[in-house]
Amino acid sequence: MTVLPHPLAERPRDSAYDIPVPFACGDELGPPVKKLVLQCALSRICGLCGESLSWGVTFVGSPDEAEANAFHFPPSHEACADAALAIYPQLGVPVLGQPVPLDTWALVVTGGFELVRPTSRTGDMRVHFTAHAVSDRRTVTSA
Amino acid sequence: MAISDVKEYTHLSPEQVEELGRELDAIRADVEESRGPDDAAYINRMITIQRRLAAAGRVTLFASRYKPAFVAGTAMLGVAKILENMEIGHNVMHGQWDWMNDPEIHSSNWEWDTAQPAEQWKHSHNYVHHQFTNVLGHDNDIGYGVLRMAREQNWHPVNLGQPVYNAALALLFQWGVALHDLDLEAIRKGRKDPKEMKRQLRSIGKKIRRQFAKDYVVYPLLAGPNAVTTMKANATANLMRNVWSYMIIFCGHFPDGAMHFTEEEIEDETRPEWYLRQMLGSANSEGGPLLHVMAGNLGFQIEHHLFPDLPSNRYAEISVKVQDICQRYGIPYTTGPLHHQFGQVLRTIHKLALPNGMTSDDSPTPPSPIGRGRRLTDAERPTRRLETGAWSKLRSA
Repeated sequence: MTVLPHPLAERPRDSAYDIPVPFACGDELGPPVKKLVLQCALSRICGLCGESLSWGVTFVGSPDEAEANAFHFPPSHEACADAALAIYPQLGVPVLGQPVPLDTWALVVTGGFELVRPTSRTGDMRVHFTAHAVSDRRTVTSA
Repeated sequence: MAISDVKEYTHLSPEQVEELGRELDAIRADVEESRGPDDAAYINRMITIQRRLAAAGRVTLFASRYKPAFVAGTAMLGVAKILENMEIGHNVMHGQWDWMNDPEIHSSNWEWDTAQPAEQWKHSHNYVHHQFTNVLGHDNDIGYGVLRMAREQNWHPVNLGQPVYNAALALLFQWGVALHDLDLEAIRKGRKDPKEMKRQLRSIGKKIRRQFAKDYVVYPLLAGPNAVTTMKANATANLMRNVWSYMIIFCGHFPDGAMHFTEEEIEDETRPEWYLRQMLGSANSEGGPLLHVMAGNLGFQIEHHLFPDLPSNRYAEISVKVQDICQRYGIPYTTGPLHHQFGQVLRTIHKLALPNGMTSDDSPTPPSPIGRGRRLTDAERPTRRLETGAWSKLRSA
């Protein structure tokens, strides 16, 4: 059984899955809420537990996002990211900013990142993040 | 006014706005690609200078009952506090140096020499102020909750006291900043989550105790027979930092030409639109290199708002390119000598102590349009509020 980091374990729980809702997702386990994503990015807080980030900022996303260096879920603590990848993908539903359920995830640890706002009203209106001082990359497969 | 109705850029077609965005993106990319050892050396040098100044000031104050030592020690400590808050703390917490991946000089770890906890500053400043720049009812930096700074804000007889509130805010600026993230308006209206308020108050209390112990207990005690004069010197150094940071921050958004906005649904604006709002809502101050360093390079407020996470030592070179873009696209670039900008700020504060009918508007005329394109219609834009900001609505309720 995965032991969740304290602030993440204390988050309000999703009514359907009885699992802590990531800070960036608001009240329920769904897509990240843009306002909260911006808050996480600018206030330097973890998109999972909502507490201040610590050194070793971590992004989780699909292998394609890692390849493109364009993550849609806001930065998090490394411990929160590890715990999130142990519990959320098991639900078999789209989580952590992904449009579809994933079996394989990318985890990237970085020093800094850039918040990239959408360039045009005609395309994808989500913001995304580019990591620019990567110190570790891992691939995580959900059991 | 809503951002889409700002006459300073309604002459731009959507294609021009997107092109302007691409040019600013290119400036950002240039700096990101070229930042390296020279930039790292700059911030490391700045931290070394600041720490040596602080140490020299503290040591000199051990003899502070002698007037020359009092004056020299206070001056060094005051300058060190200014450097720490403005050029180092403020910019580190924006993530300007995160690319170095240095665990000490990092936005997640830096705690600064002022009463507000870093965590709360990163919310009230990095998020609330930088995301909702000059949006009435959202950006709490507009008058810090005590001053009426825009004609769109409703007047109330309590505003007659603005000159006094302003002087008090300048002198006590670090305490005003410390309470900034509490959102006193929300507390007064009973909208603040009591649990969150308690958590914030505990954090502020802890930080204040630490700051107070350092400046008014530990160092004075270490100074032995110079304890009282050391305490006075530390208070004076804090006062110097308070007044200077107040002046620089107010000159960044309240000289004539820096605009206020009322749009609420700004989270769906595009990057070029966001750039435009930052440019139109900010104002620069001119001065020499020393003034810019002491101001945390916030004399380049426009550049800072465009690229809050790029290294501050690059803002001077960026400003040349931004001015060129503004000229070519017919966008105002508000700048002037520091004393001139601050004079305008003081004039605004004093004029807005009175009802609008008793004073004139000082907004400058926008530059001549360079072309006419089609603006987005309301149907094409996300829902937004067009009335005066929420703050004014609440005040008049």
